[in-house]
Amino acid sequence: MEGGIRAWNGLVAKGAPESGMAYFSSATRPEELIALAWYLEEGSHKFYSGLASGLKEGKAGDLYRELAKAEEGHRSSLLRLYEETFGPAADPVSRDQ
Amino acid sequence: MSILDYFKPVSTWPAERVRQFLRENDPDQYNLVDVRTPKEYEEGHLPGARLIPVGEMADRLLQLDHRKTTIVY
Repeated sequence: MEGGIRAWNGLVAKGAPESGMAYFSSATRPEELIALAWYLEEGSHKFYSGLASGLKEGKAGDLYRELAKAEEGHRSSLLRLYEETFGPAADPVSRDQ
Repeated sequence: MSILDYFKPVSTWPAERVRQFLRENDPDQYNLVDVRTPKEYEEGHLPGARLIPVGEMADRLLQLDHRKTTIVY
């Protein structure tokens, strides 16, 4: 690319190359993988909720709220799967932690 | 295609053409490579770019699928 990243003039990502990868590689047992999937859904829920919070009215806000609600369903399914397979889960980590 | 093909002259794209290419193609269809240092990468890189510092390129070349278009910066 001519000019390198200085010519990009767009959004860039930050963080080390291994960002997030260590998180994945540390999950090896089935229960860890389900818990990781739950956290990914939690992240998606936060993402869509954040977008929706800035859009009170209109179709875009409605769409993001729907997507956030769908992620809640995904989390519930994963929690149910975890508990059916491994027994009661620990209390969900609060969003502030 | 052999590894020597990586040393042939390559075309230079302006940033806007790169942006259009990335927009029109699935990430699985190309290699996007940042050849700078880890520190520079960490401070900001094109979303989806993988880091292969230029000094490591010879050793890590085979990590790239040579059948795909490769964009470096």
